[in-house]
Amino acid sequence: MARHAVIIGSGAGGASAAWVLTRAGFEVTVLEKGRNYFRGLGDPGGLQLPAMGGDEIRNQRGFPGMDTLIEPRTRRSQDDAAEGVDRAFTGDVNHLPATVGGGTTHWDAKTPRFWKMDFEMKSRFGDVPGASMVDWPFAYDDLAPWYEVAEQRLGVQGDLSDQPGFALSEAPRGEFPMPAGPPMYSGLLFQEGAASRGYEVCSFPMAANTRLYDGRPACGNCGYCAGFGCPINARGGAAVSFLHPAMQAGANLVTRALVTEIGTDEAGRATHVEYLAGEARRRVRLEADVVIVAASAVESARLALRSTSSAHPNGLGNANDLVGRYLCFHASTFATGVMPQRLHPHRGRSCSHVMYEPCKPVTDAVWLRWLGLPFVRGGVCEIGGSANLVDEALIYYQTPFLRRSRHKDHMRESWLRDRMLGVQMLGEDLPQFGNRVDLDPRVKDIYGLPVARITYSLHRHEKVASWYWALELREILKACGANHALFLPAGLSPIDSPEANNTRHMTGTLRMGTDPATSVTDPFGRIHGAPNVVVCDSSVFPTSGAFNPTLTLCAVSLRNATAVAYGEDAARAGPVAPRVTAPCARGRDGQS
Amino acid sequence: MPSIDRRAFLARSRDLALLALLPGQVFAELTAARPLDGTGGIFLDAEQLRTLRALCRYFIPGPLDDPDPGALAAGVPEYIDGLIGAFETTPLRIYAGGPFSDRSGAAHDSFADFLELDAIEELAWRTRIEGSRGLPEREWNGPVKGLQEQYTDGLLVLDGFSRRIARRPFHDLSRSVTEALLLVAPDELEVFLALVFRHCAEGMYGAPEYGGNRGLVGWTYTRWPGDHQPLPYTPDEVSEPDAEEAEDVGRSRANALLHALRSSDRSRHG
Repeated sequence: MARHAVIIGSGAGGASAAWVLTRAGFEVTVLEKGRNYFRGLGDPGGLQLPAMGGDEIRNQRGFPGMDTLIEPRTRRSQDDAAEGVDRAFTGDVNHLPATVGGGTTHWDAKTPRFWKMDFEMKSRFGDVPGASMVDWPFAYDDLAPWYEVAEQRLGVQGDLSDQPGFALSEAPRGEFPMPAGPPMYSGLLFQEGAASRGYEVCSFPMAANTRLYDGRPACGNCGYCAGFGCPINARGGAAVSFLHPAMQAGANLVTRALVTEIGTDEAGRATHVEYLAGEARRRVRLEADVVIVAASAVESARLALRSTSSAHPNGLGNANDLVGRYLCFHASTFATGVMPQRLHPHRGRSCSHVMYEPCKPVTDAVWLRWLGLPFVRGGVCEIGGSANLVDEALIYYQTPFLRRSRHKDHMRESWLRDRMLGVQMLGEDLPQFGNRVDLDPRVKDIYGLPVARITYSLHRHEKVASWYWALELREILKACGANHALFLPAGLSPIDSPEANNTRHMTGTLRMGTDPATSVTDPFGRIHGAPNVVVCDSSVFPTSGAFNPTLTLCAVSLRNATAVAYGEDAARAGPVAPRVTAPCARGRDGQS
Repeated sequence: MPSIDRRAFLARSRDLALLALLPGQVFAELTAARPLDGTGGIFLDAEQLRTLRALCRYFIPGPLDDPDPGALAAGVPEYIDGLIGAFETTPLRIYAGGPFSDRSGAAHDSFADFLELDAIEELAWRTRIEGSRGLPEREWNGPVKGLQEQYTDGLLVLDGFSRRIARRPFHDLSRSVTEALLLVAPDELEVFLALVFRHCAEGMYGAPEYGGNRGLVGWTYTRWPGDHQPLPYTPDEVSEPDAEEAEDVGRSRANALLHALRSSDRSRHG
């Protein structure tokens, strides 16, 4: 009889685990608390076009599944927590779409790999006061084969020839599955300006088709990427790349299924999950041999904290008060050049270029000693972004020194949209014990469950790195010919504002490691003390890395799920080629 | 019979001559405020709608304050009234459908096939729009003041503030007086103004299926293409700069027209 795997969450982690386990002969049930907008998902006849597209009003209204009334979160700083403040802000706190496909329904689909150093930050750079530096329990080379599988499934475009040598030496790789798409005009301008200051800017690897791939069409460069659902399924993601073939091979998807807790026996092993089913919120108990937790770094920790039992009185895997801790977001730095010419940044793939230079740690500057830091490291720089039209109008309204009565002149001139050469650096965020997710003592979601409360403050490292690179980005933008170059370093927005480091990249909270005293999960994502509960999302990341996390998340999930299906040794050896690269056959036995 | 002196006659004749040159959408802007002034909307009554129109017109002006059609021509007040009265109309226009509108080659406008809310979403949106109204199922985090009440209260406060400070109803204020008045708005009113502006921006610049952005006036003057699928952009359109001089010449003509109208307005009052 097939073993039953219950997967909580249908985003990048849950979907890739479903793909592995279904093909390994498991009976798979995927529980998703949101709705499904992918028509034809799992149908033998194939995908149809989804109920998503280039509509900005839906986004303003929290579509899909980011309704902060249904499920708010709260936030406070570490200082607030020390002073006994329960919360400083309630609303959108690093929300991700709660819908089939999770965050990949609105992602920009940028898929750089982590570097070798991302897996060994402590060994290479040592301890940092106030941060918890650790190495990952495996190395880049261990994950590289899984990166390849993830890139093949997602359908990643890229140009190997223009990737900088230093990046390739840190993340060696072969050819991309597809060639890169056309470069955006704004990215080309930045590339020129950066080159004049000695920096290399290259095409950004991205999960968007440049040709017919996996039955999905080529991207039309419509511009509605970041924040929008792809209307033609040209963009890879959890639903179309993993869940669809998994469902074709027999996985069962249940939508509007909010898991309230993971039940365990006296030994601590998971026996079942309980969830609220459908619009009527009927309580259902579902037996499980294996439970895959993949609800996102914030929501997976929240679920573990509310899954209390005699074996796990403080929450699943929380014997050492580590669940929810070491939460990281990438520290976001904005720099904007206002160009004399129009850049039509609405044509393309939100951005098409990347600068990796800030991912190199600075270790030899004299001022590091004054600041008590062994290094500072920025992160991946996304080049050429801009605003959409409604957003642009709101930005002008909220900018203090602009006259609101001149609104249409600003919109016509469009210096923060059509003339905007935007750069966003997503910097490494060092893990801190005090940055955490716990359960808010008062605020509830629509189901009556305590919401996630985020306690978060930037480390000095992030602030220094952000200022260091913001100033340099400003110089690059000037070299590009910008009339004005503005920047917004991380940490300037107060914690009680919606803008406070509200990135959608989140890691940590169920940290993996070899020692149960200092980690929540083992090197294959299994919760210490509950070995049949396997975490398959970015909760397990010991450090945040300096790159967009989703590709790494998928690779880790594929590896963890393979350990569930075939054992640790098989997972250490890498993917079994015929099983993971062949097209999915229909039926439960279609894994060969 | 009212007397009209020669100077006033010439000024008005010049206005009429200029009006004849206006595009249809601009003419619509000039006339949009009046026919409905005595009529209530889906949720707001006539007086509330009049105040809201004046505020929308201030935020996103049209002729004669601007050469291009503004919030009134775009139907922004009606968009807002439709949002806060959403549950009174069919279809329920909360989330447009997909994948495409019919603006770029698709045969069918699937944006207009609005998605049905499920029971959980409907509970959230009724709570957001109507408020909790003391209903226990809407108060999972305590009482909620809905958009309807925020608007009726906010418009009342705005008009009262105008009558107190400027001694006139808000909708009677000139643009310059409105600007001065809003600069000294108290914090409570500032929160309401930010809410209205957010909805103004949606109604002016969002997809027209929701009831605003009529005639795509919000996209036209901003050179925004809007949703573009299923039509792809060519590699050249993505990578190469645009030749935009022709458009800029058009813009200069529109500005010349605006200045002519403004001059005529000043001469009439001067």
